[in-house]
Amino acid sequence: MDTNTWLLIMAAGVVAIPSVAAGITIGRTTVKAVEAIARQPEAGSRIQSVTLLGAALAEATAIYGLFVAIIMLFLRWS
Amino acid sequence: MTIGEEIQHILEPENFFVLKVAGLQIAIRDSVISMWILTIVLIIVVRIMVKELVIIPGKKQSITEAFVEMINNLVKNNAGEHHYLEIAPFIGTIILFISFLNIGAVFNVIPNPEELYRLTGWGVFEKLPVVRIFPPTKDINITLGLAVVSISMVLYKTLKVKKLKGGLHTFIEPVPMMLPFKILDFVVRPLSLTLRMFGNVMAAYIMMELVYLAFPLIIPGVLSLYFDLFDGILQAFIFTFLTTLYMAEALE
Repeated sequence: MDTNTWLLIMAAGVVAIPSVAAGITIGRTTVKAVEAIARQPEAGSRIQSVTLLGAALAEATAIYGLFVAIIMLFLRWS
Repeated sequence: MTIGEEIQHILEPENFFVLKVAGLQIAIRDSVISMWILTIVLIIVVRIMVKELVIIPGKKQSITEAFVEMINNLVKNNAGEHHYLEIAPFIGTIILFISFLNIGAVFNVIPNPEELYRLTGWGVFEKLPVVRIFPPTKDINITLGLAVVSISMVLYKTLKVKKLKGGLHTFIEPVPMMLPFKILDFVVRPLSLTLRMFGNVMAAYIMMELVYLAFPLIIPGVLSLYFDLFDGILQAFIFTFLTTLYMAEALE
């Protein structure tokens, strides 16, 4: 196989691995947030905003994977 | 067109026209045109909402007041009571502006002249330019611009509230060894803001375009609620929230 095909396959792999990691992390974040709200419902709004922040930071890894994959696809086209 | 070419076409920005000012060539891209159109719509909406403010609020003014109250509370909860009025107007502005940019695909109501020509066969439609409104934040240059604006605002507010000496002193707190990391913060933070919003909006846009290609009827309407509206507003909120946190950290 030539370089272009390898880059395409690697781009798919690169975007898949961080997505799995981000999915697991966001799941864990949400579980802990739900537990915390169940224990202390009066702190709900504060916990909610911190959860959103944590989810956004965890999601960033998946976005970086996507970004690298897009760069690889551009390398393939040009 | 194959799907690969379609995605490539989505990713590459087109030059709408090129301004020539004093020997410089400034390319105005289609994302900038989209941004201008959305900005004009936003200005008109805001102008209508804040017209004729009275003591006993009507329907329109109640919505405006509820929004302002929400922003004030968000900033007050995160940045403390002392300086919240210093940053609340900026935060309110960027959350409105970025929400509008991110849900830009909803406003794409102008029909495509090529499609109209294919349907009706009238020659008039062939000559019209294709104007598409899409979320401008799918262009990385615009997200980078927004991130640079927000991080400059953090620096400006630090220097304004703490004065020059105190503002510069925050760079060597708690120990002088932190200096390189504090300077690095001003590079890493805008970069992560940029890439997060760009990646999310562009991924949602590509998903929606592929759905439009595969099933043009009904299903895009349902998915659009998530990908266009929910995701766009969530990303705008996260961008704003992070900016608030950076400001709160600097102003403490």
